[in-house]
Amino acid sequence: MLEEPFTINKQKVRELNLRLIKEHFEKRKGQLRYFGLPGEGMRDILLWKEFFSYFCAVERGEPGEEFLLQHNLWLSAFKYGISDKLHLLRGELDNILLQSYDDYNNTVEYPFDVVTLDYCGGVIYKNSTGQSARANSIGELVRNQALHDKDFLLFLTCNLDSNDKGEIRKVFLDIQRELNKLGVDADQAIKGYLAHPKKEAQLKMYVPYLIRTLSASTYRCETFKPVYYLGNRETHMMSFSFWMERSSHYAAGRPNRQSLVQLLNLSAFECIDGDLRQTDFDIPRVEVS
Amino acid sequence: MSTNNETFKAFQQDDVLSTADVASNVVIKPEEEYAYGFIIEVLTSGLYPDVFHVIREYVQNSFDAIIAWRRMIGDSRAGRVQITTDPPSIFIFDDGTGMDRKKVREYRYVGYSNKSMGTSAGFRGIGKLSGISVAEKLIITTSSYGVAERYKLVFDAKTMLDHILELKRQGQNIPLNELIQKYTTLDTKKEDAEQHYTLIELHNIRQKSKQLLDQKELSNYLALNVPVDFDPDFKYGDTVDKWLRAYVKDYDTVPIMVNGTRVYKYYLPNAKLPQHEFVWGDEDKTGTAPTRYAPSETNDSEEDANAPKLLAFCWYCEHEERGQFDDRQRRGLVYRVRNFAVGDNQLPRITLWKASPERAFYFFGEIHVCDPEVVPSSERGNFEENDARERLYRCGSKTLSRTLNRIAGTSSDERRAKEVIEAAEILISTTETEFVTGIPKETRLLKLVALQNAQTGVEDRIGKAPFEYQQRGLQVIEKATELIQKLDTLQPKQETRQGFYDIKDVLGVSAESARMYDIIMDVLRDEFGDRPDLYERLLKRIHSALEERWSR
Repeated sequence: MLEEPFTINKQKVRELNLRLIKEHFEKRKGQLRYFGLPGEGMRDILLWKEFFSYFCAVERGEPGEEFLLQHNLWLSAFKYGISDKLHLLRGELDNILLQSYDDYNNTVEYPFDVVTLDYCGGVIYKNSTGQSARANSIGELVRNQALHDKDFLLFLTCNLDSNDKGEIRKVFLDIQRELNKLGVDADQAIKGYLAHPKKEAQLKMYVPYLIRTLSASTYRCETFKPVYYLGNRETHMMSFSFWMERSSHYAAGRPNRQSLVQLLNLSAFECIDGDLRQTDFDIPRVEVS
Repeated sequence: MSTNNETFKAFQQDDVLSTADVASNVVIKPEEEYAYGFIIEVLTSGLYPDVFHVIREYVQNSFDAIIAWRRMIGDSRAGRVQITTDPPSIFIFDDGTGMDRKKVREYRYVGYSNKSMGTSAGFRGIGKLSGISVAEKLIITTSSYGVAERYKLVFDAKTMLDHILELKRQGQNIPLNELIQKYTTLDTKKEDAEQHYTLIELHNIRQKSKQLLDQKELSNYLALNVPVDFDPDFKYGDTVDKWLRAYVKDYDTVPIMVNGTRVYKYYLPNAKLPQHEFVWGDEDKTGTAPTRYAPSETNDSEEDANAPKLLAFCWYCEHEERGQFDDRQRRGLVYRVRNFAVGDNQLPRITLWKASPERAFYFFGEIHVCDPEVVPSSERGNFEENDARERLYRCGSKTLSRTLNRIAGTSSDERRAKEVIEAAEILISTTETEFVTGIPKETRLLKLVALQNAQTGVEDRIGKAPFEYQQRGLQVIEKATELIQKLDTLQPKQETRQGFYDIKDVLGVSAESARMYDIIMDVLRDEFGDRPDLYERLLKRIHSALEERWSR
């Protein structure tokens, strides 16, 4: 992963995520375990470091010169005094999550309190056989977290590249059908989403739905308002935050407290030059009588 | 951060390595090559007998960089070295001065160093490349304080070596310059001008060197070999550190962490109070070596030319208990130069001890070499062979082995005297008790002999005992005399041929058997003279067995 130049919008997202970390983990300050893709600049780690005692960072590097960015990541760790907390995993994130070890057989040591998946690309990508390695790897992450009965914050950032072959439309139609069964009329809203010119509007619903689906049997997933912004090289980016709750008194499989209707009606933030502006994309709200 | 292309190009243009005299900056375009690529094969095939020496080479460079940084900012405690094992790599990071562009260029010069012998831990300019003997890539990133750039140098050791071996198979060769230029890359990026550091990565550690990734082994090696502080648990650490800072001019330490855990210099428990000795050279000039030494702040030229030269400073702790320390790796003395070990604990034993070499291991400690003419060999298993080394060994042998052997001998005598006195006290105490309960007639003679032996033993050794034991020894002699007299008067004269109970008379043995019995008894008495209880028990069993079985 290339070192990400500093962008004020991404920094705003990190600050918002820091608020969530404080809100959920204030009592365990200094003891948290991180898993993520911090990049060689390690900006999220540097901003959040007082909360953590362990950082598991994944760095793939550039093909053929993988060692260079991995070296730079360690350089940052030494310079900023966190080398003794760093565990570097080398390789493709999805492979690492699916196998639980990296290209050098270093293992993923679960569990984590904060998982931050800063993808370079989109989140829907499927390979030639129709398999979504990204979705599968997130599913494996969630499964391993569940084995440790661990509540955690999941931060996910992606761009709008979806390589979508009708997947998004299918998901919205599923949601529409599901709500219709419950007597909820979401037709106008679904229509609004599918016809919306901004891809962010569709992803705002699609990504949380994907995470809920992947974790349905083990976690109750609370989605916070996502943020979309222009990242470096004018790339359209979108950041999501989830509180993944797994506690003994919530039996697995019970419905999320946050309903699909609430998710459809959830607004988002647009971040421009570090300033947040709330938007509902002018999509009709779903009303429940 | 983006690559500063302009800087990089300029960097490349004047970064042509030649066989010119780089030290004097006289650039002479070579008409013929003087060094070829096979020299890299020598480096990669292992310059060092111990793979961990490679780490020591980089720690030496870090140490020099940190000492230079401390001098620059006037803070004697600044800086530290962090070593991290992260398979497949090992990282060595220091926040010393870092390297500027010139130094980074020089990093590619094989066998070139601008460090001077005697003032720096490293000076040959070979150790910096030692990483290519254990790893497939050597990556160096460095930034110098006040320079808003960082430099990254990558040695692609594996590809370089593959190329050399292929050429070798074809009976060809390649000039060293060409080889190094082909398989190294340099990169310049922007950096905060306040930053100062060097990071070395040994990337993809080769299979045969995998032990480098073992944190425990690595820490143990560092504790024995590099200039770290004494373990806070070593109760004499502060004392010894003060001596070393006072008497060894180039002594210093740096904090070193391995995977976040601080490494400390080893020590051995059960050690007596530390002592120290100076090893002086040229004793003939002054007749005798000074007994006190205060390091001079004046430069060498102002020092008295006739004054004896301090060759080494040695501190040592003697084993609190009997004989040698058990820890085979840590016992004995170790030579150190600039606080880096040279050789192991066998080297002083071999070079200094001519008599009773086993006594070297009655101690643990260090010999800090102060004579700059005594130079560690490149693999640091010994010193380079020269007059200075011979002088160190000669004078060290006179001073250290003699002193330590004498101390060990005295301790041994003291310990033996104490043991003899304590054993005699026990014998007297049990005998006094037996007088109350009654001493069986067949053991009276044995008791008498034991008391006489104990008394003689104490008389022989009381002069070597510590003062408080001498008092106890005198009491032992006095009481033993009383008891011997008392026992003597108790002997039933009529029961023995010469006033003593004699088993031979009781059994009526032949003259030959009696002679054999006497010989056996003599041997037993010699063997168990200082264990009267055991001797007595043995005799009782022998007599009892003889009485029971002899007549069968």
